[in-house]
Amino acid sequence: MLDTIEEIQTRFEAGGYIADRSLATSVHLARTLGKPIFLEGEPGVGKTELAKVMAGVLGSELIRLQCYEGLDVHNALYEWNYLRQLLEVRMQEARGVEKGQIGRNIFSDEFLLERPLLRAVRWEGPAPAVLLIDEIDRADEEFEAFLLEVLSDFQITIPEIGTIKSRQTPFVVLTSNRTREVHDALKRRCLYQWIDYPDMEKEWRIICTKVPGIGDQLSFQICRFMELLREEEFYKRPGIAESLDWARALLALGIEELAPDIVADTLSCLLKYKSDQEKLTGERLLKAIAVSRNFKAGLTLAGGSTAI
Amino acid sequence: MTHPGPVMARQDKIPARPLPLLRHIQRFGGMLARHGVPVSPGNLIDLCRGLAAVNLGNRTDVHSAARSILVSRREHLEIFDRVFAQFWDSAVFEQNPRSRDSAGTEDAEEGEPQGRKEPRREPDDGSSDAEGENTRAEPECSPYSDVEVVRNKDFAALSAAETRQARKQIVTLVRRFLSYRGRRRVSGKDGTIPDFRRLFRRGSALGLPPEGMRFLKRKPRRPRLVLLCDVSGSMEKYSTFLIQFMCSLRMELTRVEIGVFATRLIMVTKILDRRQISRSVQELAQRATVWGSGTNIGASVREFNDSQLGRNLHHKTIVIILSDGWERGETDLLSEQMRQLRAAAWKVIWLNPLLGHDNYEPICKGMRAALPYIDYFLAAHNVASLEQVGRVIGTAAR
Repeated sequence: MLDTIEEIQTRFEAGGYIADRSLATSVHLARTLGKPIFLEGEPGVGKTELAKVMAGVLGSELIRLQCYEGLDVHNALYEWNYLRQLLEVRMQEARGVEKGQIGRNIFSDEFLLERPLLRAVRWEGPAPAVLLIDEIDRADEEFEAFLLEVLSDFQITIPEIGTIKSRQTPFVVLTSNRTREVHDALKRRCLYQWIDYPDMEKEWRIICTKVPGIGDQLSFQICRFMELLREEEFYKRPGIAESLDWARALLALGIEELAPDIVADTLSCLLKYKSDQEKLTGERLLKAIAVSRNFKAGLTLAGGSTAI
Repeated sequence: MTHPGPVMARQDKIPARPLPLLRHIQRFGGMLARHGVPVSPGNLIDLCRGLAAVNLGNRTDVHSAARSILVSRREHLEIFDRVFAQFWDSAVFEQNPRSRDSAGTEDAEEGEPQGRKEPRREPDDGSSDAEGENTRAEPECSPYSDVEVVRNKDFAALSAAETRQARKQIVTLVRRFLSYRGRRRVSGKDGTIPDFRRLFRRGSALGLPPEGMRFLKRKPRRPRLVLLCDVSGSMEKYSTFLIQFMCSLRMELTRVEIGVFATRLIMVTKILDRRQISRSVQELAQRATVWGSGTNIGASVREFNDSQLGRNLHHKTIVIILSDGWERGETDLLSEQMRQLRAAAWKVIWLNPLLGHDNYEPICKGMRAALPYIDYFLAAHNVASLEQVGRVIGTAAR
């Protein structure tokens, strides 16, 4: 399963993810080389989604570790369940257990709280688990260093229990929004992939896959409009997530083609900063809408035209 | 690239024995390194393994595979594409002897890709608006004759010995204030959240011999500091002091990045990373052709935003701009760039030496454009004013 690049593309598409060939190649290599895949790109271009779809395609579990400032080993790897341990000791006392035996068993598996990384290491299959380490740039450098160790040999040592080695190396996806530069040592252990905004054809395919029931006319216009929008200098340019939100919103409103007042009303789906919204008013907005409405799909969508 | 051996023909330029793919990969790695994309032997081994997993006949696949294995930064993607095209699309086979010869010699430079780029970029910018700025009307400033203590003496008027003294004061000050409590918790003897982890390990929670209570406290962290120094003509009288100030900061604090700007920005942290101040100063003077020329703060801030976002500019960064705010470029650009800077950084502090003079008001257009995006607008003309700065950094960091 998933042995060739083409197969990866097909299976991903069936799972609702349009992967271009270079991304599919990285996924293929990540599987054959057993290396983590490191995804960078603007917010909303489908970094996290890749891991979710991968889990779906493999038919296994998605284990997610959301990073944040201050995330430490105990929240990422394991923690002892202190409350249960305490209760256990008290109960043993109440049961009249011999004093030397009290508390002997409290550092066992039963009292261990499994966190995402430990869960990924202990995963037994049959299909490899997908470990998503999301927004690694939000964690601090100390955590990165620790991660380096775990990702290199997928082996975890718990002093009270012993060393646990993973039976089946999980498929690891790391994502970063580049709020800070992740250390090279970590990146170089991974396969690096930059995910850019999609071209029009790809975006159209994504919208059609993700928003079933949307008309061709509207979807073309949305794609063209988004393409124009991304050429503008915005503080935060809209990603695919925004396009999808917008498409769903327009569909829910029963709109069939773009019109100035509708776009103005729903602009908050696309531009999330007031200064950006202010930039796109009046003439500029009207012009963008006019261009999108005049857009003839078959002419520009060379690759996609066969599918239309 | 498909059939590495037979493809290359030029008998006169290459050795008669056909080179295996491995050799090419190795050379390709060397070529990338020379263009500033660091490639480790480990990466190359991975590449060999990776290439075995893709169809060597498909150029796109080979390209994407090599790219995702060898590149780990977005900035390097473009360089990689170019080198890849140059190397594998026949160029390599024709220029074989050259690329082999240079491999040995150029490897030495590899460590300093930035240093190589810098001198090349300088001539075209620095010279273009180098003159003219000095002729502009200097703002009036009253000489500080009544104060004798170093603390209150204007930096422009300090002697060498006084400068050293002032520098010492500043460094102690900055260090004292530069720490804040982060989110990461460490164990301590007082606090509000019990440290169960530690208590259980010691057994005191289980009624075993008590060793005192343990708590979790937030660990102090140091924010990252970025200092952007205006070294244009109008700031000239402060420049000697500024250089020394930057050097001493750099020696004392590891988490400080320093850039100088006039018409353009040059990050000088690496240059200042020496133990001898005088050598740093010399080197700085050689590099910084912008020194003493006109001011384009907007363009310089843009350069900083573009190149450092995500690296030295992030949510933990305190950016300090040291400038008198005399802007020669577009004020629109300046205010837009200041807005972006403000959005990305934690705090933006503007230090203005002129602010210390009684009759100064921020009326020049550059200063006015930047003001709305500044968290703290402070004077920086003597040590006493810098103490105030230190206090502000301290509160900002809390």
